[in-house]
Amino acid sequence: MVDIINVILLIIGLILFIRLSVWTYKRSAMIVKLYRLVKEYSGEIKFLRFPYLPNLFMSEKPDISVRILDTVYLIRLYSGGSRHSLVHFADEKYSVRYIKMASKWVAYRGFFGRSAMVDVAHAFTVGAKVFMLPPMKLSEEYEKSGLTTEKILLFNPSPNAVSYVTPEKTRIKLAFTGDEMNGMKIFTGSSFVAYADRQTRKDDEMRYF
Amino acid sequence: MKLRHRYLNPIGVFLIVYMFGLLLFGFCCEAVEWVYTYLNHLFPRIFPVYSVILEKEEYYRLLRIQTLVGLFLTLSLIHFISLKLENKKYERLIGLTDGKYPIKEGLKLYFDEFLATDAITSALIPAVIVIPSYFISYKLMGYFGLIIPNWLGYALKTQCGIGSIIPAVLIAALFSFAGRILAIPLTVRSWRAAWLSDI
Repeated sequence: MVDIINVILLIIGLILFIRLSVWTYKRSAMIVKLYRLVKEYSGEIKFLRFPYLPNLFMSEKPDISVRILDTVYLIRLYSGGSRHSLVHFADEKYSVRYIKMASKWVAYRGFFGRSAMVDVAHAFTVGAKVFMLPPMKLSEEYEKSGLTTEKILLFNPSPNAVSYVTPEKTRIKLAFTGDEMNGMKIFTGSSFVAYADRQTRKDDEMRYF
Repeated sequence: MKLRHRYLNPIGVFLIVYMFGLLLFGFCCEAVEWVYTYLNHLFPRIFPVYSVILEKEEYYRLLRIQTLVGLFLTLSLIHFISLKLENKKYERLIGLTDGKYPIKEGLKLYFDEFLATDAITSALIPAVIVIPSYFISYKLMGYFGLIIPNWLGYALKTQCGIGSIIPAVLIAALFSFAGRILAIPLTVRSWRAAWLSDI
């Protein structure tokens, strides 16, 4: 019995370790990209919260602020789970992350001497988790400084898709990188770096971060 | 005055879940024993294993504790499953909040609306689980040639020192209530996530 429990614990531990190491790798890779961007335009980067904390708790404060020339990007991090997960914003505050799994059964069934193929498809939700995103509060230093501020919601690791209820509450829309959603622009890590680069650079030369 | 009994689902709906609880109880007791064996393997001085013949008193005390932990686990699981199936409560809470509530607020609403029915249900569950398992299940299995230990016999009869069913039911009701309290926050969480992700 002790051996079986040991094996079960080992498997659980391995799964947790792999998941954590993937998340850590993705977040640190994103931070390295941000540093490269800042170095290119001699900007400034500030970590207002520990960048792994938003996986657990969302805050009113932005997580990272990146200043490039006259623009300050106030970044909020949102853990999108994995490439299988979907994120839905029910309103400005309440969002849910979940996985939609599909199962399809095909079977032959006899009906009074005749056989017919029965085809059943079913989708169900797994691992739904609610995240509450309180409205962002900015400190007064940004208003005094005269710099333009942009609020960014950055998905890292990026999910499969993001949807949201429109402010009129009449329909649900899919959100793509660069779209404005509830007063914030949404990006993944690399798309944000490309966006900030596009906004800033003068020449047509391509840059790779 | 509100008619709270509107939200009480017929007990027949949950009977299957409760009867499933009999199997679950046996499994939980076994699982607790496995975990104890594992802990004994890691820390032999803190979690000792007693001999049935030489240290009978200690052996039975340990058995009682293990069984009570198993009972608590079983009742929490049963409450969680049966609460998730209570559509009327789910609809009421979602209708009030549209699924947008912090856990504290959700719990407050839950207790305001459903405390009376919860008290009735958590008192009824031991009556449905304990009595059959106490009297019937292990004897019934014996007729089919399967020998299973009378877990509740160990836990409740020897714990109270009386052969009566009343203290046994009271203890189970207490455990059931504690299990209910543990299950409610989990259920309120899962209801919220289920509603918000259903787009």
